[in-house]
Amino acid sequence: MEDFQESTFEYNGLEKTVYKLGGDDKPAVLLLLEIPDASYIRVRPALAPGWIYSVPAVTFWKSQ
Amino acid sequence: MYLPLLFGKANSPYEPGKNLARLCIQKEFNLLAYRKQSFISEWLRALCREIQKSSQRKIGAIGMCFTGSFVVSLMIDDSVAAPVMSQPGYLGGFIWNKKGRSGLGIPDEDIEKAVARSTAEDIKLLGFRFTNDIVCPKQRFDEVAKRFGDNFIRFEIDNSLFNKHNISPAAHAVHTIDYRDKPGHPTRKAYDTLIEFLNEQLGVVA
Repeated sequence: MEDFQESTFEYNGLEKTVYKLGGDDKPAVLLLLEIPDASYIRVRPALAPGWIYSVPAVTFWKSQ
Repeated sequence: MYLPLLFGKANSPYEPGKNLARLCIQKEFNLLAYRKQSFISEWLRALCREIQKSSQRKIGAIGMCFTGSFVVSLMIDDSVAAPVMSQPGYLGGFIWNKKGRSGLGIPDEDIEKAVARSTAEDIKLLGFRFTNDIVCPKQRFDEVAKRFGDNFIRFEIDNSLFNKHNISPAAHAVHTIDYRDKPGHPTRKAYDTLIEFLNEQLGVVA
C-alpha cells in the first residue's frame, strides 16, 4: 500500500490517528467507519491492505 | 481519502463488542447522553478544516452506522460539501419509541444549523439504508426528509422477505459487509450513486 500515510491530528487536547490514502491529487473525502468494521479495518491497513481497499469508496479513489 | 481512527487501537485483534463498550464510556463521544454535544464532532469539524486547508478542496464526508449521523454535525462547517450518511444508528435508537426510532442522536441545534446551511447553499445530504433495518428504521429517514426537504436524497434498498435480490432481511451495512460487487445488485447501484454524488458535489470530472 504505497499510498498509505499515517499521522496524528490534535485539536483542543484530543489527539487521534488519521490514515490518508492516495496523494494530494485525489478528491478529499473523510470516511468514518462503522463500529464493527472499524476495528477490523483499522487493524488491517498496515498488515492486510487488501481488506481496506475492499471498502467500495476507498477502492474508487484508489482507482482514479 | 482520510480515515480517522476514532475507536480502538491499530493492530489490535478484531473485537467489535469491546470497541462498542469503549465507545460508550469515552467522554468525547457522549453517545449515551441523548442529543448532547459530543466533542468528537468538534474534533471532526476541525479535521475537515485542516484537510481543506492542506488540500484546497471541498470535503466529502461519509458516515456509517454509529458515525452516520456525525455527518449532519459536520455539515455545519463550510468545508463540507458532500455529506453522506449510510444506515445511521445510535445507542438511543435501540429504545423502541418514537424518539428513538426517528432521532439521529445529535443535538437539535446541530440539525437546525445543518438544515439552514443546506437550504442557503443548496448542500444535498445523501442517505442509504435497507428497508428492513431495525438499527436504522424508516422513521429516521422520514424525519431527516421532513427536516431537509428536497435536499435529502434518500436511497433505500428492499431487503424484505423474499426480495428479488435475495438480500438478507438482517442486512444493515450498505457499503461494507452487505455490499455485493455485482452489476445490477442494489448495493452496487448504491455505490454508483455514492460515487456520482461525490463527483457532482466535489466537482470531480469522472
